Parts: sequence; C-alpha cells; structure tokens
Amino acid sequence: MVSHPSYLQLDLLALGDASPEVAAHAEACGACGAHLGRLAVPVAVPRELPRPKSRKWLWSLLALSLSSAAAVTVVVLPRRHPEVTAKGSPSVAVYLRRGGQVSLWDGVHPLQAGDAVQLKVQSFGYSRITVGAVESKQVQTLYEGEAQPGTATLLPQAFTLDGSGGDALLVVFSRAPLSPEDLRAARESLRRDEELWTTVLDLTKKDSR
Amino acid sequence: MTLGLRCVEVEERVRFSRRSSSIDASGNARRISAGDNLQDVEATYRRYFPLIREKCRRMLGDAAEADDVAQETFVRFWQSARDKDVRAASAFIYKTCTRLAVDRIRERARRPSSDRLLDEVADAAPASDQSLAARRELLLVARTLPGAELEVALLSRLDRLTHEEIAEVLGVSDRTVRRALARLDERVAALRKEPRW
Repeated sequence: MVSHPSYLQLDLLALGDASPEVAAHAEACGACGAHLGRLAVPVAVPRELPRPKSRKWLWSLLALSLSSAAAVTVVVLPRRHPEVTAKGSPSVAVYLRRGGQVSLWDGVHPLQAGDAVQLKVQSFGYSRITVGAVESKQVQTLYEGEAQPGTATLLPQAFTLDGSGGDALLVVFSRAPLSPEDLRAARESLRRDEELWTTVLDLTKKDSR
Repeated sequence: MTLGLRCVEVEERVRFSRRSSSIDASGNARRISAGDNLQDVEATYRRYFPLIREKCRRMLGDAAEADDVAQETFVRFWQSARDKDVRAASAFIYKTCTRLAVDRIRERARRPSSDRLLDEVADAAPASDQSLAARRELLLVARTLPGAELEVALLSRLDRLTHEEIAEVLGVSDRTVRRALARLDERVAALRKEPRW
C-alpha cells in the first residue's frame, strides 16, 4: 500500500514550502500530482464574500439570562423523567442482506426487490421501539418491542423489499407502547422530545423488475 | 413481512437536495472591507482559496456546501491570519475550516436519517473510494462523536495528517490525538460488526 504525504504537506508544497521528500513523491505519484493539479487551476476572485457568522448574540443572550436569573428568586426546573440519564440521541443503522451477503447499507447503493434490511438501534433512554412501513398516509406496524438502554441492539426481524409500493420505514422510540393511531400521529408530527423520538428511513431503490 | 418499493419519488428528492453556489446571489454578502487593498485580497485569494476549497470538498462532499464553508474560511483567514508565514497560515486554515465543517456535519447528523442518506446519494465531489468510505463512516458516527473528536477524525481520516500534524494544527497534545482516534476506531468497529441473522 502506497503511503502518501498528508494533504497539508502537499498544500505546503503548492505554496512553495515543503521537504524534498514530499516534492519527490508528488513528482512520481499520480494521485498526489492530481491534487496539485487541482490546486494549480486558476480561480475567479468573487466581488463579494459572505459575512462570517458571529456568536456575539449568544453572549448577549447569556448575559441577559444571567441578569434575569439574578432578579428572580424562584427557579422552575422542567419536569424530566428520572431515567433520562444517557447522553445523545437514538440512532438507527441499516444492514442490508443481498445474495447471502450482509453489509452496513451506505445509503448510496440502490436497494432492489428481494433485498432484506435489518435495523440496529440504540435507544438512549427510551424504553420501547416501534417500526412501521409507511405506505401513503398509512403506517403498518412491522415490529414492536422493548429497547435496551445503553447498548446497540439488532432487532430480531428482517424486512424484505418486494417491489409492490411503499417506500419508507418509520422508526419510533418511545416510553410506552404505541397504538396504530399513535404511530400515525408520530408519522405526521415527527416528534422528537422526551416522550417520543421519530425518524423516517427512505430506502433508495432500483426497480429490478 | 414485506415492504414495497417506489423509484421516482426518491430520485426527485435527490435533485431537490442539491444546492447551487450562492456567493454572488447571497443577500448577506459584503465586500471584505472598504479599506483593504483589492490587489492584496485578490492575490491572497488566488493563492490560498484553491487549497481551502479542496479541503472543504474532501470533508463535506457536497460541492456547493463546501464552497460556502471555503468562502467563510477565507474571510476569517483574511481577517486574522493573512500576515502569518506559510506554515502558520496553513495550520490556521486547516483548523478553521475543519471546525466550520464539523458544524455542518453535526447539523446534517441532527436531521432525519432519510435526509442524511439523501445527502450521501447527492454527493457530487470527486473523491477516491477510500475517502468516500471514510466520509460515510464519519457521517454515521458523527451523531455520537463529540465535536473535538470529530475534528481529529476529519484531519486524520480525510486529510491524512499525522498525529504530530493534528496536534500542531489543533493546539492539543499527541496523547489527546491518539486517544480521540482510538475512540473513533472503537465506534467504527462497532458499526462494522456484521449482525448474525
């Protein structure tokens, strides 16, 4: 395997400040030479440039909050569930099985009829997970079960794509079991709060028929 | 249990997810400064902008988003570091646009998963298979990776910087860099584990 210099070293070479070793490598290496070639393409200088984002408003807001807090003697804390201790949001990974091979779906290669997908989820504090197939405005429950807090869990069920319509999976993390009506409401609202965390997975696809 | 397919809708949404470059059309655009020597600005821009843009494209994939970040990086560079020597200037550029890109990547990671997947499909920047794979992996772990560790990950995996170079660019110790990369490897390895089913 070829060991290339870092892009920082190549950029320094383009700016006229690099070691002879880097220069010798770039001379002989097609990939590094291509990078230097892209750097050498002249650029048009724009007439205007965007304003850097300022965070001064954040400090103003903080100062205002502190002054308000000093003036108020009663502090009201939001009601939180005591079991909410894990940091982060839930996550969903999609595994693809095609022709006996299993791989993590990268979201790029198209899925097709006959492919099967299986989900690996991390709940981060929610106790239930529900998966539904979205077809038009309807949601059909495919899986419902307990989520294991703190660990990534592979759901026991795989879903096969059959090419007959419907194109998305609804994944809902919750603190209580969901009725079909709750699931439809979650699809509509895509809520993400202490009670519910919702996401829709659109499966990129290619019709193999 | 079955789940059906439909093709056209997704392809249309992919097209919608592409954004056009907006430097001249931006309502917030402005001249760098009325007092700046225009020739100096242009010379500095021609010298440094290509490497800023290439770095942003390596990190972000989406060409329009990369150009946005590259322009903001250049403005910050012009305002704060244009008089530095080449090595210090390059380090400033790497640090600044990495941090700006981390903001964008974490913003993507907060969006619904379907949008993130479409971002991947819409990826239009030229890149090697290796860097594409690295970018996808980073996108997958971005949701749970702290910002500082994501900066280290980008500099290591996409820019190929050594531990020493990363430490110098970010102003942290070698040990901090090694630990951040070890944690990244653990997260990626967990994702790569194939399920038994």
